Amino acid sequence: MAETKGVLLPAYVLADESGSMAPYEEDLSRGVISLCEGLRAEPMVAAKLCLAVLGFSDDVEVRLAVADMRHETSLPKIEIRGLTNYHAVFDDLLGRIPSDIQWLRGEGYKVHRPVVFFLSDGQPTDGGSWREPYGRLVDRARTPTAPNIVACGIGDAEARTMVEVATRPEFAFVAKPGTDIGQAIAEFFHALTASLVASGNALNSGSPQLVVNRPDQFSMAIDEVG
Amino acid sequence: MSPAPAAAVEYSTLVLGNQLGQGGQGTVYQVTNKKINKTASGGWDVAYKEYSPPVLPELDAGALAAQVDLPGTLSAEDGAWLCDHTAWPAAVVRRNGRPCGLLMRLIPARFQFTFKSLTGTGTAVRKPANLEYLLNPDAYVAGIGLSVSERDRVLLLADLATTLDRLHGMGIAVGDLSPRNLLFTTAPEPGCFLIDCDAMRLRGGTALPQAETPDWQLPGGEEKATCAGDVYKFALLAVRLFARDQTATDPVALSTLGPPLADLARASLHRDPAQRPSPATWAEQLTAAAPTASAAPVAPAVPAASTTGRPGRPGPPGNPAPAGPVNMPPGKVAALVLAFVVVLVVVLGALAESSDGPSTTSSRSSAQPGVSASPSDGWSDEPYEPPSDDPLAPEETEEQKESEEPESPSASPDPVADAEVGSCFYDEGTDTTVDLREAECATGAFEVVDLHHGTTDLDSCDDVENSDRSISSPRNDLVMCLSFLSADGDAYHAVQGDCVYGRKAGAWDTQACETGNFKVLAVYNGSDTSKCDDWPRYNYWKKIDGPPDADRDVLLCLSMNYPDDIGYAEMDQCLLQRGSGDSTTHTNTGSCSTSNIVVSGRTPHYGAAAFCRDNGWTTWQNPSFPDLAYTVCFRWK
Repeated sequence: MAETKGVLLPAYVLADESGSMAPYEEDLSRGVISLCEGLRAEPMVAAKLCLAVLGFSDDVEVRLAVADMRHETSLPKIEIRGLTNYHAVFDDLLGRIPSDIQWLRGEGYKVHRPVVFFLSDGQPTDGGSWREPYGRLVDRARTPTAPNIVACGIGDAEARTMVEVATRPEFAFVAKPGTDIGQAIAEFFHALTASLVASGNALNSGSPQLVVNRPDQFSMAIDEVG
Repeated sequence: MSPAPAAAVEYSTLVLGNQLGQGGQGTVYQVTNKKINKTASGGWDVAYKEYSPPVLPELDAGALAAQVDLPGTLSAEDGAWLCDHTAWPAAVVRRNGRPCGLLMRLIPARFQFTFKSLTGTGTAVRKPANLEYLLNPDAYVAGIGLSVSERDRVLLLADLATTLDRLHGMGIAVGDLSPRNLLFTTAPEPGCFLIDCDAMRLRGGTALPQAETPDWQLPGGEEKATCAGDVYKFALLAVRLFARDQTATDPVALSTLGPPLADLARASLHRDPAQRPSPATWAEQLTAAAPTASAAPVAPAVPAASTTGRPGRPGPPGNPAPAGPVNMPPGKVAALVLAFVVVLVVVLGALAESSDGPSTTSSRSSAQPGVSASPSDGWSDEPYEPPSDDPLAPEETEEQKESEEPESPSASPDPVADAEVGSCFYDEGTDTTVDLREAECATGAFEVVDLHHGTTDLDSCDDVENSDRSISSPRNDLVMCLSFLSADGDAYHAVQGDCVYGRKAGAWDTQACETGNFKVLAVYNGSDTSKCDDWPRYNYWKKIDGPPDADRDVLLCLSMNYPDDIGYAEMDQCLLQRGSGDSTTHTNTGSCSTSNIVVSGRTPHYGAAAFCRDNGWTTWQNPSFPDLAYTVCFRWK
């Protein structure tokens, strides 16, 4: 199709579904639902976003395929299972993001650089093997559609790891020590919705930009590594 | 009704309640200890807008004060009108001797609506009815709980055009005219309400630098916040409101309303501001177009299918399902009281209950012959009961009640004689007698789908599509063919070979056959699902309720429409795979010699690549029906 329909921001939410999240399954579920409902209630933002919700543990499961929330009639469901395999996440995104973007372009859309919101409650259980696919994913020379990655750690996730996962130091956050994890998850999704709404509003303006709000109860991870 | 002359309010005297919103310029809170316009019963609730710190240095305090003073300089009528149609700044709020924000009236309750969430069971959330909700496909609009007809849209625009005309007359240019800053209502009649008024330009003065909403900008270089600029943006709004699209600019979207409006939009979008028509011209043309626009609201909660296929592929019928059987064609010869009730019910969701319908005898298709019609005398005298006072809008209740008084019914009280195709009735009779009460075309009602004059032959409806009942009225010498509007959707009338879709627990409608919806294999009366078992490809059933106590419920035996033949392929079946990536297809050629793959396994799970080990695989699901997902493994021949 020759006609350009508009410019979209593909946004991927990576939710940790590993076994250690079991006590917070409901918080996670509620967070995902509030995100989806929040965007559905903002049609001028929803129209500019392509939202995907992916659950990860041993592998990556699609909970919501890249979607305009205005057209969705059901909500994604989270499923707690398995370990915390970061390798699976970045390997999956390495294939998924370029393919999604190619598809969107084929449909006549222009596409902003995608953004990944990564929420994990633990250290990777695959050692350092995730660094290879991660390196390829964020290398704009090898992956022209390399995403910006915002990383939020809760529970056992270490600040140092979040800084490694985030594509900019100011995109890495960890929950403050002693924060209730359920509350932190709620805040993550609250900030995520606000970030997407603000980014969505900024799209198509004179200065499109990615707006990242720090979740309440989180601090910037770089503060922690000093 | 004008508010008192402007006086600065000290921030410290305000008791703030909930945060109501946040935008680029500031944050809005409810104020719990103040009212404005006490002349309205009880006064109006108040909101406080606090400018964000980066905005304050740019604030022109004099211009803001001039806005607050404006109503006092207008005639009483103009002042009252301004405060009724806009959240005009009512007072400047000061902190430490400097302006920090303003007070304004809270959004009136009639410009709010109950947002329908996907979870359905959550607490009802009232949201401001921003016009942005209407610039989207009908399925979305209905899905969030709004019901707005084409005529409502025309009248909304007409009201906005009138509002702009009057504002311009007062020396006010809106400037950032966008769906975000406009609220709407459809009851008691379509109308609009403007917010963010401190951003407007009054007699050339502007409290804050003029900003524009993305996609709602004037042509490059044009002066912002002028009357001609407002007309340009009004035309964009008109186009987009009818295109159901947030960025459309082609006036052709208005052509269904007649060439004059499309021409008006074209002229209004002219790059030269001097060439643009006035809002008054728009108001005139829109008002003229309204009577011929359909008054049928889009059916609420018509589910479109959800996302299917590989991630990224849009769901099957992303297009809105048919607008449902609600139908109130223009020129409908219904008593005025009924027409009025329909308009109200659309938004308020309350149905006028009139007790006794006329008694007419009828027959369900090919059952008892109809013998008489004896409309009761008083049916149309049943008054419409206005809804109970809305606690959110005490100040509106009195005027609403006044305006909601139904007009006197027309002289003809015979609903059968007045019926047209598209009229609806409730039947409160028994199997053999009919007791019809004219009603809104809502679930549980019967809609007239055909009328045969000059006959009382009940069989004359036999070939009429979707007709479930025929009713004869010897007095009027006619037969009405009626179609039941099931709460479970128009799939009630589906026949073998049709395609249907709906949520597991919701209404189901007939749709064009597409990947992700269901083909009807068979239709049975009753609820014995074992009847479906022997149909090839049967994998789902749906019961659709018929009229109460009529034993006419329907059971549909269904088959999911998978993307291609591999969806129903069995172990060791040969298929021809063609294409690659997203465009891969699998065809059952009926012969292994013309095929290139053999099915080596299948599992009813989505994305189960590991299940296929080293074999090739393909997977698909409709997330709304995860039980019908598959991953099929295959090997090359």
